[in-house]
Amino acid sequence: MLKVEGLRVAYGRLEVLQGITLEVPEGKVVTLVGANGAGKSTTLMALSGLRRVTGGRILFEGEDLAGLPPHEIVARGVVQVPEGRRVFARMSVHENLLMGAFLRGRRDAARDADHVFSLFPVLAERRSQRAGTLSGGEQQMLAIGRALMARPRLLLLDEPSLGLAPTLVAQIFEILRAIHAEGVTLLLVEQNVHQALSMADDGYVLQAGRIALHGAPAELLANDEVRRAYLGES
Amino acid sequence: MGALRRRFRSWAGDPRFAVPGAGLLFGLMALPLMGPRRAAAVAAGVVALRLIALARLPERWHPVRGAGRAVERMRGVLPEPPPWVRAAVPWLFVGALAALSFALDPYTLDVATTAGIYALLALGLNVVVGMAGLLVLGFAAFYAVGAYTYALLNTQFHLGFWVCLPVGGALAALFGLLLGLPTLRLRGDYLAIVTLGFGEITRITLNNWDTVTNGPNGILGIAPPSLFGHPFVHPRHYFLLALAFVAASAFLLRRLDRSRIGRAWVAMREDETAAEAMGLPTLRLKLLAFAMAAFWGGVAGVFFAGKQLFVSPESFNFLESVMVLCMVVLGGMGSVPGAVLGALLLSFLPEVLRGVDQYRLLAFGAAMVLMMRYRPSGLWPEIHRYHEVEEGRRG
Repeated sequence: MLKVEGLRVAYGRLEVLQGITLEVPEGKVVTLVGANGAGKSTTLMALSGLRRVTGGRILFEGEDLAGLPPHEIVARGVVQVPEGRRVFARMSVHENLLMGAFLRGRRDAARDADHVFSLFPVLAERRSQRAGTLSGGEQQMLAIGRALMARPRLLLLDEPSLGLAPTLVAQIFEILRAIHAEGVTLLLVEQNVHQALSMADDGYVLQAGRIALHGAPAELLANDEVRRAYLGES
Repeated sequence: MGALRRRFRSWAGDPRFAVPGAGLLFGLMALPLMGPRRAAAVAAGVVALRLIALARLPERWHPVRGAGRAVERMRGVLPEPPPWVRAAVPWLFVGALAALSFALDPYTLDVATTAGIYALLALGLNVVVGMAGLLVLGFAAFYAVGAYTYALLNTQFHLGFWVCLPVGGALAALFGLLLGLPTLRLRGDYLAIVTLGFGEITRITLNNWDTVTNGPNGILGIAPPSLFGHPFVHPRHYFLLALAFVAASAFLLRRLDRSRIGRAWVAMREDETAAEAMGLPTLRLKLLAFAMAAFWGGVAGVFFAGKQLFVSPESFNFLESVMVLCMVVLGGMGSVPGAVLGALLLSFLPEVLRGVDQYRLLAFGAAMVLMMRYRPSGLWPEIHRYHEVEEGRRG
């Protein structure tokens, strides 16, 4: 479904991504792990058109997305849940969801909002509350729900568990499993390596702008280097 | 030094000094404006208001909060009016104003018509500054484009008002797009500076392009608008036309504000990156805001030319842009009724203070400072904007 070939991104003269190659097959969950500053977020930003790509190709079903503006990419079904949630704090929960469906018709939006509310009953209770008054976990749910409103076929998630209490982390991963079960392909960037690898079909380890390792989650979890670097084991 | 400052602080905070101090300050400010007797009244009024605020009256006696409470209570008692009643209220108000126009003298009607033109301008500027959150400082340029469109098309080609109205609006919108395309990648202050420059370029061009615009002498002999073959002769005709324009604009823009586009502008204002990530075509949304604001500016300009029957570059200077911006800020950025309210207040205020015209700007400055202190989100705030400001205040 998504094939990234030799992706390069530079901030000025600093090359943050030095040729990333990875593949996300349809219907799978692929995770991208790595230390802070390895380039995980930059990768997702580049995929959704928020960062200018300086080299390489982003093939989504054979079409190169590199250089397209973000709304064109969203229209093709590649949608990002940005890091740190970034809900529209002063708009209501319902308004936030409608923004996710901006590119689609009004009637579809109403139906999809009902679907999101059924996935996240908490949001239904708070539909006219301002998003800024929600708890961190609820905001993350809203950010995911808002992205679902765009009817993604490939959902890019940037650290959905960041800053959440353990029970909420488990809950978020439950929801991600449910979304996956509905047929949405996931590319998941996580620092919570254990959780991420436990639900993924395939994993990549990003190190200083390059793919350092690639393999099945079980292999990665067994890899000494990964255990040392990301699981805090010596 | 530090001790002195501390002492001053404690004085300023002590009502025994602060209350008469405020009275004295406002009295002195009012003195050149309205003479000793009225200035004394102002000082007394300020002292009285400060005392009321200090007295910690029970809430229902508080001049502002008490009224708010009373309204809340009334809402609780009275049944919620059916939607058609609520929708009818503004139209009844417009109808009442139209009826009232037959009782007003020509002078008042003329002032009210000018206020209407400013209301159109403020409504337009509010789209780009208030709703989309892009600071534009050269708004008078679009006003000028509209006015000169009618002036030139009418005097040179004898085209009528109703033909020139959409043409002037569209031409101004085109100018908006031309200005927006290269500049909208700029954010905040930079955009403000560029638009300021654009406003000045437009005025200077009008001033110097003698062969077309007749330079600083302006264009005379514009024909008044006519309706069904009857030319506009009485100030009431203009007033009714302005009223209709403002009412229709407010109605349309209020709907726009509550539409998908309006919400998208709010989202963009809140977090542009997140908005982009959600697939909002931000550049197109900004261009749309620019073009719409410019369109209203152009329409106001055509109306202005049709009313004054004379245009010159002087009417479109930087101060004019600032005035309209003040109206938007005073009324409450992003709020449609606020824009109209701000325009009415700032247009009538100088008339009330007639004869002390040279102090107009001083009064403006004072009004703006007071606003920022006591009601930073405007007199009739838009709800999202209100939260933005209130959260900012709480820090």
